Amino acid sequence: MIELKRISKWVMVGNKPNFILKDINLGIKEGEFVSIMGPSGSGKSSLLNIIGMLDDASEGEYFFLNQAVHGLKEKHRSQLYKQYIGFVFQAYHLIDELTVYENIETPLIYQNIKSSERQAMVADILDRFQIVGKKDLFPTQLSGGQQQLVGIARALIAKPKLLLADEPTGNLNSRQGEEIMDLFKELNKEGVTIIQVTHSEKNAGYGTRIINLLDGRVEL
Amino acid sequence: MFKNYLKTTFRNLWKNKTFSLINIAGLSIGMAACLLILQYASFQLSFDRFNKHAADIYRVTNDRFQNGKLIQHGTIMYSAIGKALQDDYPEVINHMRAQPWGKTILQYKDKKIGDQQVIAVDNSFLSMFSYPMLAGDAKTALEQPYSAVLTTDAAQRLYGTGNGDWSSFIGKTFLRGTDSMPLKVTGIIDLPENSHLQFDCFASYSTMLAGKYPYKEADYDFKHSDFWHYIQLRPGTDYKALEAKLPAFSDRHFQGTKVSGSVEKFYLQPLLRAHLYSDYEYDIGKTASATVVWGLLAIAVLIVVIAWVNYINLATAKSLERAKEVGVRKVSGATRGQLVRQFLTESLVLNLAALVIALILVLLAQRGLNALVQHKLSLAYLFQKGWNGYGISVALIVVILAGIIASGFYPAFVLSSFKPIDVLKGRFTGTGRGAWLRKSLVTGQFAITVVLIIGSFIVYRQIKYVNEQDLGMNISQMLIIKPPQLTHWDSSFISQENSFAAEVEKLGHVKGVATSNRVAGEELGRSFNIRRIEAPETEHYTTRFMGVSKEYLDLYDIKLLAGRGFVATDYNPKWERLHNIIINASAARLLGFATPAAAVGRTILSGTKPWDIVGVIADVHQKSLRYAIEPTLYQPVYGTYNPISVKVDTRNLGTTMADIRQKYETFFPGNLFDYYFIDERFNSLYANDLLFGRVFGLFSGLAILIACLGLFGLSLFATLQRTKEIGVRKVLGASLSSIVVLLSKDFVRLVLLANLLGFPLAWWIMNNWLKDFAYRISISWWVFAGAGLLALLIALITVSVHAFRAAVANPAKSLRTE
Repeated sequence: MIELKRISKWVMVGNKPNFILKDINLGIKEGEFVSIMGPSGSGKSSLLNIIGMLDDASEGEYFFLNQAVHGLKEKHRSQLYKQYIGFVFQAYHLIDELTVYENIETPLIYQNIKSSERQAMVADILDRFQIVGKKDLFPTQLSGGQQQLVGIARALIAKPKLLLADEPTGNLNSRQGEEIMDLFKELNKEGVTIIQVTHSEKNAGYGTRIINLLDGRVEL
Repeated sequence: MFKNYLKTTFRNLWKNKTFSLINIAGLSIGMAACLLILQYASFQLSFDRFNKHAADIYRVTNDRFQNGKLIQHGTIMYSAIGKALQDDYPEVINHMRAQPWGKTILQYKDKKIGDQQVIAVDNSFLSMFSYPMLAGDAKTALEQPYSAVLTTDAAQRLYGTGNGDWSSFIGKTFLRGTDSMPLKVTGIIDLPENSHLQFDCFASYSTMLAGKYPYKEADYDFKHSDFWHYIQLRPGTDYKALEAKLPAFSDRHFQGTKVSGSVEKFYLQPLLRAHLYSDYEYDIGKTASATVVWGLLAIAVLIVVIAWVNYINLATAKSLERAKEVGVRKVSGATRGQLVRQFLTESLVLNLAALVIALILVLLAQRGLNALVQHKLSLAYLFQKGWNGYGISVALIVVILAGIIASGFYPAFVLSSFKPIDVLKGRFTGTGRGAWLRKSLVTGQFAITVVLIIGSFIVYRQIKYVNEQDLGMNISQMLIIKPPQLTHWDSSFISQENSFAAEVEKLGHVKGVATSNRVAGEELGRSFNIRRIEAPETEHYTTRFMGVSKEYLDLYDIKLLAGRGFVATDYNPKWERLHNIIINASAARLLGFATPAAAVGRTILSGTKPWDIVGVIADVHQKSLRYAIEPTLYQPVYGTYNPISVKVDTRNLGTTMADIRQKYETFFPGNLFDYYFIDERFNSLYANDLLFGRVFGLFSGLAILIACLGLFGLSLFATLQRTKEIGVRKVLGASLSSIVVLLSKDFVRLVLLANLLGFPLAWWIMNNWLKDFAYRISISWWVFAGAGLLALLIALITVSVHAFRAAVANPAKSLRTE
């Protein structure tokens, strides 16, 4: 599903490039549950962002479902992104002005899905995550765990093939964290490919594969 | 999708109540001010546009030169001009002569109505212009002598409302003024408020040429300058080309100074410029200043622009807070276009809300505005045809849309350009971007504000100056009684008027009585052929002239410089017997007398009639201080058209007036008794300036208010942004004042820069405005300093409210929240 070839990312500090990622070669197959681990500053999030098409690599090739992402125009890339990728953040990043229902609905709106269809899809996912009772609340009225649940629901609403999670349990207590990880595992079983960035060995244990990063390189 | 936009818009507005309020308040005040000014401007700009042939009608104007100097710049000229132009040039397809007969009394049976403006016009008047004719035949109504077309208003006042059928007035007769000339109603027109010609009665021109003593000079003459002309050109004619042929026209008919004593130059003024672009003497049209109209329009636009600038400033300042939302939306798959549309929706909603409130404000303020400008204005004026034939409404819609788009687009583009990964990771600071724009916008706003403050200040001071200026005479407590024009002139009139004056002077509270053919503030007539008796015949000088009774100079406290004032023996009912004259200092100088005393006892010629100078008086301001004092001759003349000046003690005015009235009606039976105070009338000469000053001041205040709203919001934001910094500084021991200074410093710098930009602009504009006054204040530096300080003070107060609040806040709190 994902094929990274000699991916590097750097920023210029003065006249010298400062490498964040260097020479990453990586393949991820559909159905995998990958955990990216490594100390702070090792480039975990940058790698995730490149995979999630939120950021560009400075060098190298990236194939997603056999399409060369590095050669795609912005418009096509965002099309690809919209269709196949969902993102979950450590800080949830819900829109404070929208209710739970509306937050989850947002991606569908941007995909120009009809209102009736949207209603059905959101209702399904609310049901599944057992947050139907909270649908009219605003994010600030929810606990962290519940907010992250909404965040995941939003990431999944458009039925992506790939779920990217950047320390999804980082702001949660351990019980809430476990619930989220259980959910991930379940989703993975249903066929969603998951790549998560995490600090926790325990969370990484939920996955099928661990990639360790150190100073921008994959540790073998 | 759109529903979703609206939903987020409303929730955002609600969440940021202060900012929404500032935005909507600023925009709605700005729009309301703009709409009010636009009403006035569109009214002024609509003058004479109701005429079908407006584009082809021209006024003929005439500049007159003597000894190389311009002595008259007017619309008044010789009766032959119109016809001669039509005869000489085929592109002139129609002409119309006019002569105003002044304010007079119209009489129908026992009914008398005073102050009626009568004008004699050719029959072509009704076909050349398009005054809506409610009754009568436009083709023939003014053909026959002694026919007249009345306005609806005059007709109703004269004949009562009738049965509502205008044609029932046709054929009725009425009498005009002193000579009781009978006129027959042949038409009724509905005179639009926006016609530069504002008369109550249009008499047929042929009336002047009929009767036992026809006014021959009124028909085709090149010597007597008492007539006005309008011509109609063939559609598509370049009037400039025709104008270029007029020097030849002048040479042909006037042969230098041979015919009229002056060098005559003729020009054409498009009808559509007559109302706003006329600076002519003896204008019979209602004029206003284009500078004022365009100035107000500029203010109107500036006010809304300031409000929109506020919106842009606040919106981009707020972008930091909106950044996360943008990031999330982008991550959720929003394209840039979709985000731009969302933010545009927001600005649309905000602007529409402001527009609705603005309309309410306009309705509330309408009455006040109408009282201020003394016109019945309404929003409907925006929907009539404005300049270029398009409704102002169209321009308005374009402007509002442009404003919404311009003010909405920038924030929309800034916001939608954020990279989601930056904003979501908190790596985004966003202060650098847009800060430059924000600063320039604030500077621009304040530059405009400074210009407006300086402008208001100078207008105020100039008006104060002209009001306080010594006129050279005393017009306070001076009552003017309308002339006994229905009394017939005969040899006994002078003694009749003198007896009346003696009787009135006997009344308590009356200090004196005098008569004159014009009163202070009114335009005097001109004589073009004045010279010293010993001077060669080729010498021509021009002076004003005025007829006064012997008491006039004393009553008005006019200073005698040499010789004596008039005495009873200077007067005579027979014109030929008059020979003593008093001149003013300017006239003495013009005629070449070294001192006022040197003029006394000398003789001058007016045409061929000799006058002996018996006295020289100081110059007085006969007209407003817009105009320079002119050489003037004072003649010992009485007349039934001469208003009566009565100096009164204003205590017990009611009784005094009743007594004067009783005397008036005894001495001049059958006349209408009416009076006014001359100082009020004289001050009304500045009504337009005063109006301009007031409107300028009012709307400058609004502009300042709106700019302050913006600054208030912006400084609130800047302070919020620096909460943590302030906390840290306080923990490190910063004093309260140092923090207030820290937070105010940036804004102060901007306002200072704004001053530098505003000063030269204000100087240039106000210098131009002042040029219209012959007597004016000089613009002193402290006006600028004062305005700059004021702007600075206002800005400081606005900004320091937040700075102070931030400075006294508990640092522990602000640091904990981080």
